Formats: sequence, structure tokens, C-alpha cells
Amino acid sequence: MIKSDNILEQLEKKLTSVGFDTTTQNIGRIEKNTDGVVTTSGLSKAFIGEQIVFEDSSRGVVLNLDEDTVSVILFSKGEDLKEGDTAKTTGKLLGITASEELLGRVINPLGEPLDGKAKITKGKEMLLERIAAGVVEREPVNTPLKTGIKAIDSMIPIGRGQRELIIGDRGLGKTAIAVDTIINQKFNKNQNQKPVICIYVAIGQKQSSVAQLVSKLEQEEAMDYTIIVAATAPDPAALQYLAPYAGVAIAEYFMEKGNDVLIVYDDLTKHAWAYRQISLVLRRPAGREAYPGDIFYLHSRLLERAVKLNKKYGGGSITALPIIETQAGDISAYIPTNVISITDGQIFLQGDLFNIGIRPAINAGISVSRVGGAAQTAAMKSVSGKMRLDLAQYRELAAFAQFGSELDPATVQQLEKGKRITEIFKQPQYQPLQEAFEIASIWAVTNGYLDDIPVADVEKFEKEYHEYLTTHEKKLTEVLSKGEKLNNDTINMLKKSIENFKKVFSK
Amino acid sequence: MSLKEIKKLVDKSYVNGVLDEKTVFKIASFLKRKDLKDYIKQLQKKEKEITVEIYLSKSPSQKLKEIFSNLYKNKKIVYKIDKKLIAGIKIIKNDIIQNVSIASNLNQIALNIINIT
Repeated sequence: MIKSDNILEQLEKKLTSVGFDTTTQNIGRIEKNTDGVVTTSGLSKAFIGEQIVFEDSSRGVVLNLDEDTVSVILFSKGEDLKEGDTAKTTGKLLGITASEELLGRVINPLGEPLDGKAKITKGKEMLLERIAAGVVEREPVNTPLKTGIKAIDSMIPIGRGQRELIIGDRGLGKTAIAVDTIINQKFNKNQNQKPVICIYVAIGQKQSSVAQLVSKLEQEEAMDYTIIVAATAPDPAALQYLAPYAGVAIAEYFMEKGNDVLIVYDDLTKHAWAYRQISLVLRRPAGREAYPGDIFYLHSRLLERAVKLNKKYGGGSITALPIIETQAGDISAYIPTNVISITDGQIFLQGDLFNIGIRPAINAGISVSRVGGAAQTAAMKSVSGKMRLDLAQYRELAAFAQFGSELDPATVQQLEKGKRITEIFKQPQYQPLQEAFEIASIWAVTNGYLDDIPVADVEKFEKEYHEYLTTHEKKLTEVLSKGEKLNNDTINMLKKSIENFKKVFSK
Repeated sequence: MSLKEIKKLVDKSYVNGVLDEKTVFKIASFLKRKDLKDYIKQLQKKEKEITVEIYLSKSPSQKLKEIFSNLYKNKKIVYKIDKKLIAGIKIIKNDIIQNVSIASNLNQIALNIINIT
């Protein structure tokens, strides 16, 4: 709380130093106000991306500079703005105030709080539009970002500084994967990993969905290290367009301090729709599917800001998980193909897998991580290689086996193993696993320890095995948490633990 | 009619830097409704470009008027009284406002105080 003495002191200082300073303003007059875009005359000194203030204190940003007019997109509905009203330039590019105070907060892309708490006043002004780090400042991705989801951490590993797209139809669990990844970051402390600050950018979503997400993160004690930037469905298209840039600007603040940051863009399809709406109102030429010509650049410049900096520049990173919603599984549509070509891999979610109960409904066959093993610990790498092969063989045989009734014992064994691997990869929502348990589960199934367990009991077996490890095998859990390559001693400990557990497990 | 052609008509409407009424009405009689609207808009814009509005807290002296006339040659100067300035001058030239007044300085101090708190 600023004392009144302090205010008076400041005021006296200002009065004694008052001179006749010239204030120069560049003004314009509103000619048209259409669908969140205001066309003004004047504003001859305005530049692209500059903030404009109107007579009623509402604000916007310049997006078009024409011969006689300037087009400004509004941050509010602008119902009170009428023809002839004054608009003034501010000389400032659009920015957001970023600081540690943002952790645990829900804000809009302008930095205004949406959670009913105090406004963030102090911090560093981060520009929304910035050029990404150059080649010299970067280093290859070499540290894992653990999602806590077995299917991803084993077969489609994500590294800190990578861009991994999550793509699928509506209702298949794209947001669930992102939320589980955020929740899993609370285990970084236990595993002696550098903490990860999480930013979730909600674009064009229902307010109830965002509220539900906040509630869940608070319940899981994940809000302490998470920031939510929300531009929901009722917000103007301008805010939905700016939301991802606001999110990455905040991420860059933390990254420049040497932190690792995870940013989720949910979802970029709605972001493209908002930009299309703005561009059409601005009368920019429409291209394929009525998107403007620079729709690729919209996402490429955003995603390029996800980076792994080298130690000379602080060693921080931003990992991006953009989400794209497809229609009827069509990944060859315009926006999905654009974003696929930008990112360092994609996680495909499929409806038919979801419907038969495989959740998360990840199609491991066509999902890919271009960073691969560099983003895995040695322990995970050693168990996942064999498992990937087993799963690939199972997928081939499963299609073939539909037609034949007489199968040789080796094929039957392969099929049964594949069923159990598929069952192991099922995971309930909001229950990310620490790496030690992931490794233990995958090792057990690939080495045949689940072959005598009925497929329907695999889930129960795994759950109780994890509880057993927590209570009886603390040393083994610690060793596995280190992530070092499995040596003979560790393998023997694993064998002993599963054999002991199987003696007490009741089917 | 294109914007370029409208602008040419606007330039022709001025004789020795002053808007000629007869020329304006003559041009207006030949234009269609849409072109007439554009013509009026461009005339208003041109008027703004050649006009300088000077706001003062009291009537300007002759000396002051001479100074401004020399400063803004070939421009139409309009003097207005605005007591809210308290003292000082506000000049509006096209879309640029230059304000050297006590009122604007006090506003700036108030904004700085708000930023401090």
C-alpha cells in the first residue's frame, strides 16, 4: 500500500519540475465501425501493431494502413463508438505485463484479470509480436518433457523446446492430454527435474470449459505453476487472435530467466477462424477456404517462438503443444496440413480407437515425434524400443488374424501380448504417472509377465502393482526415477518385485 | 469514377489556394450520387489539410497573429478560444495535435500519479 506521504512527495517533485512540455498527439476520426473493426481517417503517423485509444477509453490495434484510412481491430465490442468519434495513437506496440505474480492467475490477452483477483501492475512489458530466437541462440532438444502418459512418453516422446501437435476430431481427448501433461509437472520436484511453468491458452472455448479446467488444476495443485490466458467464445475476434501471442510473450519472460515453460494452444483451429473473420472484415483478399494469404505465417511465427536456448542465453526453453481440431478425421485439410508441416511431430487421436475403449485414443502407428530418443531418459529408451516393435508386429497380425481361425502358437502368443500392451497403454484421465511406474509397467508387459493375466484384469493388475511399488519397493522406484539405463541389478530388482507381487495379486 | 479522378477534381476546385464556390457547384452538378459523396469527403479532407486550428485561452494579439501567419504560410488559420487550456496554446494541423498548455501538463502529472499508485 502506497502511503499518502509518498504520493504527496511525488506530486511535489512533479510540480517543482513542471515546465511547458509539448505533448504531440496524432488523431483520427471514426468513419466506419463494423464487426469489431473500426475504419478511421487521419492517424497519419500510425504504424502497424500500434495501440489506438478511442474517445470512450476503449482500445484497439492497427492492422491495415490504407491510402486514406487506417483499420483498427477493437479489443471490446465497441457498441458506443460512432462515426466522428476521436481516435488517438499511443506510440506503443501491443504488449503484456509479465511477472511471477501471473502464476496461478487467469487473465485475458490484454493482461486483465478474469479470476476476480487484483490487477497485475508491476512486471516487464513483453511485446506480443516478436521475432523468434535465431539459430545461434538455440541448441538441440535434449531434455525430456514428461507427459505422464505411457503411450506418449514411450513411443512419441516430447522434449523441452519441441513443438508437438495434438490433432483429432472433437471429443477425443486432445485437451485431456494437455491437461494431464500440465498436472504431471508437479512431479518434477520428486524426480529432481527442473520445474516447468505451464501456460494454457484457451482460444474460442466455452467459459464453462475454462472454469472446469481451472477447478481441476486447483484440485490437483497444479495452478501454483500454471497461468491461464483465456479469450473465450463471447470475446471479440481480436482477443482470440491475440491470445496465443500473449501466451508466448509471457512464456518468453520466464524462458529468458532460464526457466522451462510448457505452453498449450487450445486450439489453433479457432485461432485461424478468428483471424479469417478479421481479415474478411478488413477486406483482405480471401484464398483457399476463405482464409487470408498469410494464414501459414500466422502460425509459423507463433510456433517458431518455441525454442531451446543454449546455456549462453540462459538455457531456458518453451515447449509448445498446439491443438488442432479436425472434421471427420480429415488431416489433409488446409489448417491441419499447415500446422503439421510446422511442428516437430504430431499425436493423432482417432475416433474408432476412442469408441472401442482405447483412451487416450492415440494411433501410435501414425503419430510421430521428430525429436525421438533425444527426448527420452536412458531407462525409458531401453524398455520402449522392444515394446514398439511388439506393438507394430501385433498391428500387422491383428488385421491378418481376422480372416484365419487356425493360428500357430507363436502368432497367438504375439496377438495376446499385443492385446496386453494395448491394454497397458490405456490410462484414466487426470492420472498421469511418474516415470518410474511407466517404466515398470512397460518392462513387465514386454517381458511377458502379464501373459498369464487375463486382458480384462490388466488394468487392475497394473494399478495394484503401482501401489505395491510405492509401499514395498521404494528403492526400486528411486532407481527408476533417476532415468539411468537399466543395468542387471535394476532388472533383477524389477523381476523380483513383479514375481513377489504376482504371488499376492488376486485376479 | 476512381479515387484518383475525384482527387483531381478536388484540386481543380481550388483557385489560388481558396475553395471556389462556382467551380464546386459546377463539378457537383455533373457527379452521380456515389461520386458526389466521395467528392465531398475529399473536399473535407483537403480543407483539413490546408487549415490550421489554433486554440488559445484568450484572444490573440496582432503580433501573435503575424507570427502564426509567417509560420503557417499558405494555410488557412482559424483561431478559437478554449478557456479550459488555462494558459498556453493548442494547435491542430490536419491530424496532429500539439499542446503546450497548463491543462495538458496537469493532466500528464495526474496520469503519472495514477501510474505510481
